[in-house]
Amino acid sequence: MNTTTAGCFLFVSPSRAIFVLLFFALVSFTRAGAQSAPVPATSSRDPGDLTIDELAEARVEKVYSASKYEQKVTQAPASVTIVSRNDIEKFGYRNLADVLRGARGIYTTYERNYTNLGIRGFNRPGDFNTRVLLLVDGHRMNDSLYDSALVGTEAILDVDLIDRVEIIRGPSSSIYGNSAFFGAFNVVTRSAAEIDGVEISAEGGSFETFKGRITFGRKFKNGLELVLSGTRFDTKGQERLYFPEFDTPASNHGVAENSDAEQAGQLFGSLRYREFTFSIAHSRREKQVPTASYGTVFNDGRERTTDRRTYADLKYQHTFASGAELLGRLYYDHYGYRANYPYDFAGPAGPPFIVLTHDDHSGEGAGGEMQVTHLLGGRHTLVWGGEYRRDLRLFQSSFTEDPRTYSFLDDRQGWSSGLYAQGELLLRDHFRFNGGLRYDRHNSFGGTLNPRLGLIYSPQPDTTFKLLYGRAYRAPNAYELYLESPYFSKANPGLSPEVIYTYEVVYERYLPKNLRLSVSGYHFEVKDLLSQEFDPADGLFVFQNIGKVTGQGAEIELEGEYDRGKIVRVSYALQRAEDRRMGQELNNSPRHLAKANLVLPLRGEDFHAGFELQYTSSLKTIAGRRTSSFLIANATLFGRNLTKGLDASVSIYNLFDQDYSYPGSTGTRQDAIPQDGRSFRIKLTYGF
Amino acid sequence: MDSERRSPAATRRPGLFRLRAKLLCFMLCLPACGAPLLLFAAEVRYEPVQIKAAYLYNFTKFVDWPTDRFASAESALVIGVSRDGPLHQQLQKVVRDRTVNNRSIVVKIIDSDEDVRSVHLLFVASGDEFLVDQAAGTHTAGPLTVGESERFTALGGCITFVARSDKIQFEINQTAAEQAGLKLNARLLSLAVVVRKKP
Repeated sequence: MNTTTAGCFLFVSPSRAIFVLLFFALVSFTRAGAQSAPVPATSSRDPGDLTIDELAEARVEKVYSASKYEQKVTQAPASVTIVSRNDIEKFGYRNLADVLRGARGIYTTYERNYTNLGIRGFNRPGDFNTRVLLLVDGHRMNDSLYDSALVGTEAILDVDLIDRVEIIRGPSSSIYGNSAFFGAFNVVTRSAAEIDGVEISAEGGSFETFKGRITFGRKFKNGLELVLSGTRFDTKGQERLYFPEFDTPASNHGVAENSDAEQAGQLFGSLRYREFTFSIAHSRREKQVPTASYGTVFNDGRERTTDRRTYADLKYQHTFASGAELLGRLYYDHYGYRANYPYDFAGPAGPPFIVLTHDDHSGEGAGGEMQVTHLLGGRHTLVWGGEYRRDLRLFQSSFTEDPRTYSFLDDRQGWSSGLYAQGELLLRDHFRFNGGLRYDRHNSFGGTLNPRLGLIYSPQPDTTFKLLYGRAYRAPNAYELYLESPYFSKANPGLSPEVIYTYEVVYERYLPKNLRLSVSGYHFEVKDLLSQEFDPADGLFVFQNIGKVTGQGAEIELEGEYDRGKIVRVSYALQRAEDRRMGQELNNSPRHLAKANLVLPLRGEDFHAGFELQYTSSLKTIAGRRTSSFLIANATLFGRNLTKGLDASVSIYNLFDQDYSYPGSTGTRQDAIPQDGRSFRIKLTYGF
Repeated sequence: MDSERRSPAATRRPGLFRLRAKLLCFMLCLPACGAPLLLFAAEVRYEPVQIKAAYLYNFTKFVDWPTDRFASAESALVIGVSRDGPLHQQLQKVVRDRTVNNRSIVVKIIDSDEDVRSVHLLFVASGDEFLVDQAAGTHTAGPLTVGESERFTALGGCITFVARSDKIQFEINQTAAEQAGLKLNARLLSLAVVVRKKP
């Protein structure tokens, strides 16, 4: 088995240069700061006594955004949607996947294990969301083994800890590096000051679903902010699931019984003092898989996957007297995956000989990044920075027990580093040019350079046009590079990254009556797409960079916010993605996505009713069939402060009990996987 | 499967524990390394709400309202805020015992459509931007609207707070102010980071 030599952590030569460079930059900045730091005032004056000129110069406690740098939505070189905590409460979103599914142009599919995200018509089930970047408070969540973004019940964070989700559509490898292929999602957690006390929440719903949460948050007098939270989740799932592909007497006539259960737990903590923020999070989810995926025994009950994710993140942010900002971060990540697969090793005539196969995969990484933001002449902004990440352990194994016998074991290390710069120039009063470039180097394939260019034109404050171009990449992950399944697949360490080129036009406008209109069009080309191909020479499957996909689409959205919390939002996305290699429409890509959201105040502002309508047109499956199009309606009644400190909500999901299915993946025999019918949830949250 | 490869069970790499210990020590030492930088944070810093409240008080000194907006020379100047909260509390502190042009200043939370039109200065908190439409109304005399969001500026608010690095500054829509029958002092216009005026 190959293992790379350990080397000396943090001092491998290509990245040593980056670290030394950034260290000197930091030193030179602190020197500059020392020369122009103002004399500390002995006492703070009553702000009412300050003259208006002094007010313009007064320094405030800065609230840092978790994005790379603060930017108005209309000025960002991308089409951005922000989903707030208010939306999460009023629409009864249960997890991050529900949140994302409500946004324009985004859809999810589910195979009874992981939730897969589709954006701009691209969604490869079984690819674990490797082409979107998920960030929590700026911390990269895509793991070092698979680069997967977990968004369903397997996600790292309880949805009630979310203050807002920033959805940044399009390629942003120019600033974030790997995985920001179709988009980036930044989840910003609630602040200690906003939580201000203890929250105890309990929810119960269909399929014997229970969730309990306890959260503490407080900003203390000395400025220290602390958030602590723990959640426990449990569900029996669907007790009987019928799959016609398995309808034989030998496999319980296609019915998987008591095979959809799930348990999850999450812990989150953050400590913030002055310019330091330390956060730590841990999640664990175990799910039974009822689909008998990967050729396992149907209705055995033992097929299950367990995902564990942990991270620790230390962030330092400082604003210098010149107005420049420095961000430094050190982080640690761990991702563990365990799975049990029952296989029948009997011959065609013999009695069943079932052996439980185990997968044990573990990815561990650590790294650091540094970023500097300059304001030039009050009109332009320059951001530059660098990042180094060490994959401390990339471990993949497969074995059977009694005695423990490995059929596959791979243990190695890796690293990646990036250097980037982005400039925003205010050309004339109405033109903004945004250009960024990032160079990344991975030990697996070498280097990649990804630019992004944007021209933003605002003839009046209520109107913005954007012309955008970007290139992004997705590095081959440890699974694609190194995993071997005996007699089935072989490794291919020589893989290259996937590349996407995207061209976009965006028009945003604030209309009278407090409405906001957004219209966008895009065209993308993906090349070197990784797919598993059959090699006739040795009869094994192997990953190769041979896919090619193009897509284009147009999206329109209208939203308004009114008195007493009334919200209206409608959106429509028309999209078409084509598999260029096969010369056919891309699988799992709906031509139309339409959504409508409405929040109505009832009885003054005591109650709010939230409605969601989501239409998805038919999806093509692997076998070439089509699932039928479907319309899902969700409704939530939310009451705030029913008695002092008590919020309550009742939600009904799939109100019209619509039958619908999502396409299966290459790992499932089922061509289409039926989804849940009508379900409900009751939730109580008590805060004090 | 007839033959499986036998491999030794996975053992932890011996060097890994030392590497993780090194990382942990490095992370714990960082606060100590950062200590000298804390010297630069010793200057006075205000809360954003304090600065915004002080600005609202100061704006009243640089705006001329039409005389018919006041019942008499002694009538108080009324500042309306769209919602209760820290800014309302700060504003009450700032205006206590202070006057502008010999008028006392009164702060109230907006309660009705009539309030929106009758106050002299209206602060529109983030989320209440729909009030801008109501404030504009059909006849010319209206309040000086001050807000803090992009949506507020787009809807035609007069003055918008903008956060620039660690300072709070403001943009002025001179046309909107003129449409409300208000005259802004040249000094105020010169301090704004952006002044918008329809040609």
